[in-house]
Amino acid sequence: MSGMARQHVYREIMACLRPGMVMLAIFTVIFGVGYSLSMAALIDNGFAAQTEGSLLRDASGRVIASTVTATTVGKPEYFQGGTRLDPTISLDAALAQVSRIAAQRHMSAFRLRELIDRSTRNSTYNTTRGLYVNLLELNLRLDGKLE
Amino acid sequence: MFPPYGSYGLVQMLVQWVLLSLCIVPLGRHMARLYQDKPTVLTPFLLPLERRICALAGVDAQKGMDWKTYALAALTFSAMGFILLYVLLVTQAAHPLNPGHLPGLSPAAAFNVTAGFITNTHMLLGASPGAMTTLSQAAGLTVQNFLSAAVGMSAFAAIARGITQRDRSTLGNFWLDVVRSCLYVLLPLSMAYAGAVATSGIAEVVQAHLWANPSGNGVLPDAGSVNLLVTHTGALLNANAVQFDDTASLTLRVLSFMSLVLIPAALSYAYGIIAKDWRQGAFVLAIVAVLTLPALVSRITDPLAIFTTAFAGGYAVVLYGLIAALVITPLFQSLSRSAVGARRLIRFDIVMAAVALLTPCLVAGACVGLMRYVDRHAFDAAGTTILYSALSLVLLFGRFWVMIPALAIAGSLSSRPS
Repeated sequence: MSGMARQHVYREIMACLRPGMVMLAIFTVIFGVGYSLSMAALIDNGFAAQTEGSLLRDASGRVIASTVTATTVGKPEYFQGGTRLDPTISLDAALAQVSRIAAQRHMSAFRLRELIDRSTRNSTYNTTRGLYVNLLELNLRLDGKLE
Repeated sequence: MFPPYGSYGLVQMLVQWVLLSLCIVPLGRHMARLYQDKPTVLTPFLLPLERRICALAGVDAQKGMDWKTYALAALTFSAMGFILLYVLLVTQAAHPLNPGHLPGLSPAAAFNVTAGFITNTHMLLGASPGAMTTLSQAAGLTVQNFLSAAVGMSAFAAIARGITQRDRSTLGNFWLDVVRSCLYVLLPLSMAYAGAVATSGIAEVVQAHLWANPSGNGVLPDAGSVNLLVTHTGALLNANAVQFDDTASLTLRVLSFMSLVLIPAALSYAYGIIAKDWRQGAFVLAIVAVLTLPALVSRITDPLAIFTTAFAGGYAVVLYGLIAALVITPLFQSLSRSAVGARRLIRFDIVMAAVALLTPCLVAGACVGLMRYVDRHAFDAAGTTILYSALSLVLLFGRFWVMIPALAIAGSLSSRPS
């Protein structure tokens, strides 16, 4: 490349520095700070029901469990079904186990249906899914660890 | 038939293709207006901000650039972003908001991650997401997510203008294109996307994963920070979103598909509008679809899928499609009259087109061969780093090696009146 062309390229690059740095700075503020914080705020507050629900806290706010990893598999006195990463069962599946649990724990079916009711959710977008029950929440409620 | 679709199968395919078709029309139209300096629906709200940013940056919005200036600006801006992100990653130990006292990334790992994000492919090569501090993620990765996308879209705009517009001799202003891409397209899309992803259950899946595998941070990030990344959240877990397919809801899978495909598809549609010839738009869209297909139908561990995901994510596919359209268009025109009119291609154009079109094929072949070789031979940590570094170079090459010749062709065409 000739000397003049090289100088030209050099000048062009230098001319990019100010817009480049300003844009990096501005967009770091807009996207890095503004966007990130406002999305975090929106999601944490506006959609708390969907996003906070998976970590359960006791009365003092301490996290006691993740609702998504169930540890009561195979024990007949707990509700069964669901998998590690999708620990939900249909409402019907839960109701079908009521009589077994009632017998195991000597609890009334009415009380069990109450607990099931509290642990039941509806899907946000999937209109064909129907009501579903979060298994770990329900089992924690059975043990009295969650109100 | 298509492994990643799992139990949702045909329903998911139907939903996502229908949704995509519905979305690319308004988005494509919006982009076409934006890149042709026409007012859009968002202009009344964003124009003051756009003007303010241009003023601060010393950008004269009226000043057009020839292809060399445009290409140089794109390269320089990418390089500056690269340096910034690299420094951020390497100096992590010094970040505030770092309760887990995560150390800085090694130079090689930082290089690989940075290359992944500068090329808009969002691949955390050789680094795990648990190794990123909040600051790295927010100020570094998230910002580059947006900016690298904006650079790709701006290149598209310049090339589209150069090929189709007779009445101007410049390709437009790179800085203006970047600002507009960020404000008018990326920001609104991402806000909608983040809201949708956050409410469709991704938080539960990710939190479950983090609970089972505590990250070096020592604190579980709340769902808000987890969802900050613009594109598929699988990137957060060092894998493509396909990883979630066994567990993710239908909404999530459709959203992650859209995050990969929506912008390239809308750009193709926008090209049809800018060229005032729907057939050219359809042609570009077809090429983009064909090139992106391996990413959608193979398991993510397949090297071809990785490469095509990267190629698509970098929007290089759209540029590729544009060049291909350009070469094929004289054929179209010999068959019928088109709004763009006949464009004589000189030898410079042909050479550039060949360079741009053929080289990625060679590179893709090399890349696929390399990764298949790796699959068969176990590598130790050093070998893996070398491999990822090679892949990073491939990504960088794949992006800019297509972009620059494409800009050259556009410049050459726009500088000749017919």
